[in-house]
Amino acid sequence: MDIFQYDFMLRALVGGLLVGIICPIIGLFITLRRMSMIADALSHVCLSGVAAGLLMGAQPVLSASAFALGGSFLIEGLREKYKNYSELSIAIILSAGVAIAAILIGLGNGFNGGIMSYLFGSVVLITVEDIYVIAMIGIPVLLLTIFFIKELFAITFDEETARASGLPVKLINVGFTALTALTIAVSLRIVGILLVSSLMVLPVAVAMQLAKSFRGTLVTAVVSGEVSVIIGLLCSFYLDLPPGGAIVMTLVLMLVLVLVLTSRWAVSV
Amino acid sequence: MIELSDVHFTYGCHPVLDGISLQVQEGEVVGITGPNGAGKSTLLYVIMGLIKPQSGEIKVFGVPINKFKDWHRIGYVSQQATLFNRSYPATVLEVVLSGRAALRGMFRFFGREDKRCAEEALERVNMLSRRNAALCELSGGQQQRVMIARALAVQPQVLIMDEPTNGVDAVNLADLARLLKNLHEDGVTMMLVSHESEWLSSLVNKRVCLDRKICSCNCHYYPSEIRWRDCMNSRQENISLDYTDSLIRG
Repeated sequence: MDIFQYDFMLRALVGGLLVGIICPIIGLFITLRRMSMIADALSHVCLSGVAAGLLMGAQPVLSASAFALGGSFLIEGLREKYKNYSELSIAIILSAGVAIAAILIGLGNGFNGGIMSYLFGSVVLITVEDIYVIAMIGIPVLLLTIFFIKELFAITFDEETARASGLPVKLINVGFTALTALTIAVSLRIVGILLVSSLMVLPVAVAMQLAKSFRGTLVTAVVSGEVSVIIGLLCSFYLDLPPGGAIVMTLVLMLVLVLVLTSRWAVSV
Repeated sequence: MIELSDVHFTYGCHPVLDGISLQVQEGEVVGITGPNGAGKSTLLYVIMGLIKPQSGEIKVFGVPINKFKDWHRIGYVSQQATLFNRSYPATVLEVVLSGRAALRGMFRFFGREDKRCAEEALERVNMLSRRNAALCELSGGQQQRVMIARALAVQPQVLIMDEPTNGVDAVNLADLARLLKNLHEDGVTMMLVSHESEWLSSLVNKRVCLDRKICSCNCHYYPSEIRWRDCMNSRQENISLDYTDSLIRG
């Protein structure tokens, strides 16, 4: 296949496949915590991080990671303040993220349109340095999440009982929000800031229709994520589309197909 | 096993627990009733260290609560588990295994021993045959049994249940009572909080009526009990059971 003759495509595939595993795993737990909007808030904080990176000449994925981490801790802090309206904390941080980004982009005079590749993802512009940063942050995030799967299951299922059983729930929650922030930061180069939350939530929506066990849901979500990344990147290469849009549209079509098929099964049963 | 002396807890300026003293002995089944807002769930939270009282002393298995580490000796069935997770994507066995997460410890995966204990717990609640069923396929009564199995998976000595009858219909209530009696006969000490005062009285051998203070504490003979227990504390008033019931109805 001529697609593999291009180094940039290989880089996009390596990065994409890694992101395609991490996003659905983190996405499953944020969905089960009923906090799927947190990904949107943190991705907008990443936008200000990228703008700050571009303005100061720092690696944008690294500066986005730092901003996202800060945003995640602020969200956890604000959740304590607005206990019964915890979604407010997400809305506050989302607004702050967009506002800071608007100011920084204005200061940088739009960065000659360079910010666009971060909004929707870009295959051509992914550098070797980007891949190193994605792997350096992404692999530890993946390993930590796998090691804490049983604790995250117990907490998302029933936080009160998890605390009563002696699990350090607060610490794990803060740690998990930090992992979510880092996942978003490393994914934005491939799928883009505006669509990263879709790669976290849509594979989970597909999996929840198909699997009945937790393990099945996790595996199906990861497989859906990986399939969408591969199909999306191929479409992006051959049809010259932004990768984020192609990946997320593949997921949307997969979800529609699964919803139609499962409702037919339900009718025939 | 559990000892509270003169425990005070206040939410803002509202006293919720006002000088509670209570002892739970090995082998007892203690039922806690009381009107809404009487502090029943708060009492359980205090015992499990989920909230700290402003004053008073709590000892669990003879150890002051702030030094107590062996939380696996206490199994807890919360109200929330059954109410909010009916469609959680997990099988019965996965849910029961999750009860052992803290006991297994961090950075470790579940092994054969965990699976054996989870299956044993499911056997005790008569749900082993449904171990691979999805949680959402079960009835309210069956889901409640799974939650009890999750608490039993750590082989606790004390089982604490907050409103175990919520969402359970009349037929399943009788089943639930039978199950709890069997667990008691197996030597599990229990603390049950429930609005269903009639259902509770068929099960317990100590009944505490709570309305911020302990209004009454009555001991009953239970078939498996050998002796009366002196459960009255000097601070507590002894009010008749009839009064307790009228208080609950009111």
